[in-house]
Amino acid sequence: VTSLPPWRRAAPARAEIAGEIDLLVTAPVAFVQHLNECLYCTSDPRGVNRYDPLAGGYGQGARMTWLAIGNELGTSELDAVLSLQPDGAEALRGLLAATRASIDADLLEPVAVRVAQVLDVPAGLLVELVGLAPEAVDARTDELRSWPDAPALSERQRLAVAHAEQFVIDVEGIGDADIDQLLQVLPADELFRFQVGLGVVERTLRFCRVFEIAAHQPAPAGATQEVAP
Amino acid sequence: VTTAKIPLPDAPDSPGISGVAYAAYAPALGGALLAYKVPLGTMRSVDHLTKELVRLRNAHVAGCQICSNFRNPKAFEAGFDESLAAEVDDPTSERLTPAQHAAVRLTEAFLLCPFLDDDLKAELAERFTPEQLVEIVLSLISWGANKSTVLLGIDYDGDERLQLDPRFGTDFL
Repeated sequence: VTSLPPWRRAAPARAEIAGEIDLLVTAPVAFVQHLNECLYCTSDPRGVNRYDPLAGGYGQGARMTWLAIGNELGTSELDAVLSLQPDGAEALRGLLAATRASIDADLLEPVAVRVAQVLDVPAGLLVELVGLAPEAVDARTDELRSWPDAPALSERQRLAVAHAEQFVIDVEGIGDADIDQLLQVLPADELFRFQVGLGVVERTLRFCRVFEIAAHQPAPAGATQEVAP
Repeated sequence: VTTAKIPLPDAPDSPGISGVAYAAYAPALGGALLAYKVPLGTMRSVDHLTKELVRLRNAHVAGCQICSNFRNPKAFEAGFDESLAAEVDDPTSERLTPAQHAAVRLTEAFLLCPFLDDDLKAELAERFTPEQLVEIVLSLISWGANKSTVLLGIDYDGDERLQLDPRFGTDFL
């Protein structure tokens, strides 16, 4: 595993910066001064986490991916990468839509958030690509903050998230007894849809991870806070 | 013999046992997975031989019988021969080109630890265009569906050589 660049690990500070910038965008001089002096922004040489008020978001015009792609103003990094294979991208969005329609949101949302955390994928991509609502990502991130205790989760959700986590990290660590335990809270048909959908989300987020795609939207406020390792 | 780990309403001893589960429990999701394959079959930025090596490495890592047994005829037309099937598991194989080795390493990274190191990124950028790399990884999103079916014990474990089914309308599977 390659150590991540410092601006990635600095992500939890983003909430503070966002709050600060919300005030600063109304004061252009102070905003420029902020960009020049803020250790956070200056440690982000490619501007991935830099707020651009003209473009209306984070990372606008900036690149984090290592793919040699264009840097067109107004295009998110995700769209720029997906535009390389537009038919496949459209099909992927269709597959993700079918996944959302096939799995109970109470299961899909916390599981997707946890998979993104494990793979260190920006939470904003859960909105931009996986298609979750920003407020859902925010709420689920909040629920998962004390994971694995996470008292806000039901037993069904806890088992699903634990299963997803193991599935991502080492699928061979999942035994027959684990499947049997899931079958206690999920009927066979629902378990099958959950497992297939989990796989779709996991592979989609691995796509994002492999190409190190930046999120266009700021991470939901809750997603920028400390999460379980 | 593979044993299904979830109850299935009907699991005949026939190729494609996962098809039973999709038909009974997730027809919409199964249909979406098939639909996802169609545009992948029209992508031509990566040659069929390289894609077959990637597909087989994915099959071997996942331990999927049905995927390991399958051969894409288009790959044979592009120069694949049966002895190459085992070569994808050998990082020192001299029969694979540097670009093919790089594609296999990308496959392994995607499946096992998707935090690419700088050396691999540099090699991939040298050997492939961004369009090709996206095609490979979008393909892995499809092929990687076997991770779930293997986990649930519903990957077919027969040894027949499966072929492309023209009903899917694509040369991608």
